[in-house]
Amino acid sequence: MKPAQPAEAATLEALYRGYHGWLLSWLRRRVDCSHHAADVAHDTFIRLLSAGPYVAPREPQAYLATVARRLLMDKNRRRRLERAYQDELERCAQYLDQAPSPEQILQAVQVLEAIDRALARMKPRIRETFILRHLDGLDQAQIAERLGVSVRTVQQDLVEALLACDACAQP
Amino acid sequence: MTPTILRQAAEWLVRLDHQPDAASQQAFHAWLAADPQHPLAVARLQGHLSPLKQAPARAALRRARQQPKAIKGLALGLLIGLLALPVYQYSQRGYLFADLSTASGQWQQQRLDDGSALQLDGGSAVDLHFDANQRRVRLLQGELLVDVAKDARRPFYVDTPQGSIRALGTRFIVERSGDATVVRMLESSTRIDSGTQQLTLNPGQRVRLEASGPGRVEAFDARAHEAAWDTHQLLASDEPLADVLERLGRHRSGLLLFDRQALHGLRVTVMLPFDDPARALRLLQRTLPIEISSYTPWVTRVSLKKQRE
Repeated sequence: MKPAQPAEAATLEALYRGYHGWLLSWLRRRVDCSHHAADVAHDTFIRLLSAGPYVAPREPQAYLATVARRLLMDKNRRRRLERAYQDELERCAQYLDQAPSPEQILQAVQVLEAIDRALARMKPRIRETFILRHLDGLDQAQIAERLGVSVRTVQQDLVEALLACDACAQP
Repeated sequence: MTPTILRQAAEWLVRLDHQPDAASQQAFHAWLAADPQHPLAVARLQGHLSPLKQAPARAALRRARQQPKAIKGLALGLLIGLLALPVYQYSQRGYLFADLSTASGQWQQQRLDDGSALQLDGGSAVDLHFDANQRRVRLLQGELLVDVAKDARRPFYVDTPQGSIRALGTRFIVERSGDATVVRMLESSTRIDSGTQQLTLNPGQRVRLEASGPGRVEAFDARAHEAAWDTHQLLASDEPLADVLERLGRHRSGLLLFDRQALHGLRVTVMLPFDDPARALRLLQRTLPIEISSYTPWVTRVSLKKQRE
């Protein structure tokens, strides 16, 4: 018997027809809710659709799994951020004279998520510099001292970090 | 929006974030005015960081990032967190953040384990180091009212780059203002080390510390000033407008730009609402020969009104 011919994936449409079912079962084994699996499968193809011109992957399953895995990680990261932000807001509720609206929270979480993504992609020194400045509140001179570099270098790193945040921001 | 413009905007924001002098601020104004895309680029980049102005968002991001490395974060927390603060803005790194410049301005009061109380106004941050021999508070930015609990064996210090204020049991306000530190004495007295000089400051006296040492000791109305603190008002009696703008700037989001040199000589006596910085700016505009222009919701510039010939 001939080995099963892999489904065709020359176009995105073919990829969808040939592999959506496979992706769905792959996802079901990894997430606890089948609705959630269907959502992620859907998002995977949406992401491919919006990623620019389609290039047929040599190994469609590995390719889809990579994209889906990244989506799952993003979703986890967002959930984690969202929960942490809600917790922090609750902890300081007594100091806020007005609780932020759900829309404001969602928006802040989206922006935080973009920063988090950007941080993950930065080179270590740039990331450290960004964290010291924007999360820990050290000024540029203090950061230079702490990291043993010049203020000029700190500034260059902060510029790169800012542009990295821009690149990761929601369109 | 071209990458070149975005990069220029990023470079400006970073440059203005580091001791901006009058010349670079003026150059920035010129750049902003040169192309309508320029202020948009500035606003766009600032938008990417906007939630980081609030302490809860900073804490959330920090926590979300630390979860995969919980053990490392915990070790760091134990190393640096010498002082167990019971309340919310205690981060693993030992910094205590007052929330920065939300429109409503976040104020907070902190009681320390020695019985001393710290009040931070908006946009302020301190770093605490307490041990058996001394109590040290480093004022990183902003303004701080300290109510020191008496402890003869452990002197209490507030440190800034311009000097060190030593107290045994007393009540005073320390403010970082540009490259200077202003100390206002409310009760009792303190010893101040600044530059190579030492001085004693008494109630109702204020002094400005520069890198070179202390300036002239001046009198101020301690009771009125403290009342203003309690009600979140900015009280300035015959003080440089630039200092007032700087304090106001800490209580609002976005960049508040002004040219210290151009405003030199303008002194004001005012009471302004910290909780409503936009209104505070309008009140200033009503009584002073200044102009307020907004480039975007994030960039506001205060300049001298041009003289009509």
